[in-house]
Amino acid sequence: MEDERGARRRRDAVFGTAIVAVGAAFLHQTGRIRKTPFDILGAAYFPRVVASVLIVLGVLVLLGALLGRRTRDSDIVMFGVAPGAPDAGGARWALAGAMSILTIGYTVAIGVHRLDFLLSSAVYLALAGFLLSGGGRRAALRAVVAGTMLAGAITLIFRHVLGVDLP
Amino acid sequence: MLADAFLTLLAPHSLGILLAGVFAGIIVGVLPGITAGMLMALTLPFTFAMAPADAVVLLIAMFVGGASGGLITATLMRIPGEPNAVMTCLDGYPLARSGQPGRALGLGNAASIVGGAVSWLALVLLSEPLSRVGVYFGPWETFALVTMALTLIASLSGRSVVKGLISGFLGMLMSFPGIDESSGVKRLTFDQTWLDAGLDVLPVMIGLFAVSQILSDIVHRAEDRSDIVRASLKGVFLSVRDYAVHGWTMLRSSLIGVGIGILPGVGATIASIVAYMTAKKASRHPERFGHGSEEAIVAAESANNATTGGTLIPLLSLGVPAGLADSILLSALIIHNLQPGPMLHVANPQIVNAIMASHLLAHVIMYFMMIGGTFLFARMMLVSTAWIYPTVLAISIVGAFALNNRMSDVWVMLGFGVVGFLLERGGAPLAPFVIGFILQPLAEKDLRTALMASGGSWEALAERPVAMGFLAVAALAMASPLLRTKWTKRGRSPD
Repeated sequence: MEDERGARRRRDAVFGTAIVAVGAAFLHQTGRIRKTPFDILGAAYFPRVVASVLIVLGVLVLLGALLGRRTRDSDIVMFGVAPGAPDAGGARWALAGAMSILTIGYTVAIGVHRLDFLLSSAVYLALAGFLLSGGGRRAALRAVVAGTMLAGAITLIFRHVLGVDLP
Repeated sequence: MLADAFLTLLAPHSLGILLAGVFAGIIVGVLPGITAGMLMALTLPFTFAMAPADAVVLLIAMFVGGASGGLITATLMRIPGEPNAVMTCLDGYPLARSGQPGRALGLGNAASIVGGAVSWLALVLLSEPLSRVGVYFGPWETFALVTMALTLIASLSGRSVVKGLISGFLGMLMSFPGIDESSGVKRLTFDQTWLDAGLDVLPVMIGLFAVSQILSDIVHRAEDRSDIVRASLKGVFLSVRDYAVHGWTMLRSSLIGVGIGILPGVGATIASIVAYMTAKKASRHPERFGHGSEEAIVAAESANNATTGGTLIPLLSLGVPAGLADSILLSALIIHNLQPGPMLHVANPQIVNAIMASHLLAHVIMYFMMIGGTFLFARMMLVSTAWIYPTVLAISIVGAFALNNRMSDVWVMLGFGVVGFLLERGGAPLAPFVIGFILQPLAEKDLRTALMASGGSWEALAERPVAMGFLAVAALAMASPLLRTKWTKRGRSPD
């Protein structure tokens, strides 16, 4: 119980610090906005107010964490998983990391190296499906088949039916 | 005219769009790990080539279908396919387990269409008169209205007003980079040329709705397929007596849904919880709640679907979205060069009528589709997220790229996926972020116009009672946690 409270306070401290940092970065940038004589408020006014308020709010969260008065989390379940819900375990974090790397790799392949969309998508979908389904020999075969079919369906629907330019 | 809109929607082309939208909505309601908001955000880039009316009809149909599809998984699997079906799980599943899955689905489905119909009536009756009031709003009122909407969303989206406000202000901050429309000055681009045009709303939305949800689901949720009840159509049609018995619960819950739907940021999940608790208090058999109570299913589902109409009222009459699905509809209107808000009724009444007509027709289609497709949808619940997540990510990349045919939008989309995930990890709700991002330009433009007219004086605000009223509500919303704490303490004190 105490550990959980400590973890939450640490999380709030990190969150508050990150918000203060983002607010400060934007506030610093507002100093570089050119002034125009005909505009009463100027282009910097609103961003300056918003960034300042954000810093104050970030400090409030940070102080709450440091003084042991943790602000409460959102209790609205937006996506079916309560924000701040206990993690299913370290393995799932590793899975999320692997999926993120795979997705970035796929984006680089089709967007930067301009590899063939159909082929890249088939490989991505097969690898991601294999990873998420937990592995195994049968899963590998299923992943290859499903990846190829899904990539074919996406290409067919978006390029040929909807006429969308694919990366 | 509204009647013409109904006739237009019954033409094969429009009817096809409605059917496709409702079907897709129900499917995402059924499929694990994907929501109606996500579907709408992903569909948005592909509506560019469509006529504006077709685009909004498609999105409304998806919205309605998505609100209803969660009933199937909630009843047969005890898993809310959509967050708003969470209360239906409590009684729908036990009733289905007791050998009456058809009855449980039938009750939920009937309640859904009644909720939809009541909310449609409210939409038709309230949105036009409210828009007539909105026409008289000047820049001070609009600025104050946006401030009020944002503050209400921030304070009602979660228990922490501070974190809600952080989310809203962060969303506002992210909409600043680019060329300032009023002065033509470049601002907050951090010397990045790709930021000169600003951040497009679509990659931001897709990132927040799709990518962050998938990341969150992978970390938090493991698939659970235990205790699935077989679908059945026995008892799926209610008798007249059933409607007589549950009629009052349906109507009361629908009115709760409409009222809560109008409030910014509260949404269908809270509406179904409030309706459920109200029905339990009013029930002669409160002990049955949680054990397969028919009243409970009816209350939760009526309120859930009634929010779909309620939430459209402030959007159509004042241009202020009350929830996440609305913010996507608002984006769709802006993308199609339509001015959201009170002037929409004057300048584009055909769009308003198309939205209203499609809202009701989508509910009718949903009712029959849910019955006709019960077995198909029940099979679809079994599709593994191992295939859904990568496919949604691939489509998100395609959608973000399709916007301007540039990869920077894809990186923005992925980046905001991480931002959304981190915000939720930090305990901040995402709704205020989206609303802040969309409404900030409007708030800034109106404040600058108002101050320009008053020669830079804020005193002019004090002479605008409506604007002051909106700001007072905003202040009250911000102070609500303090007031709540005081009241709770007073309630607990021995005196």
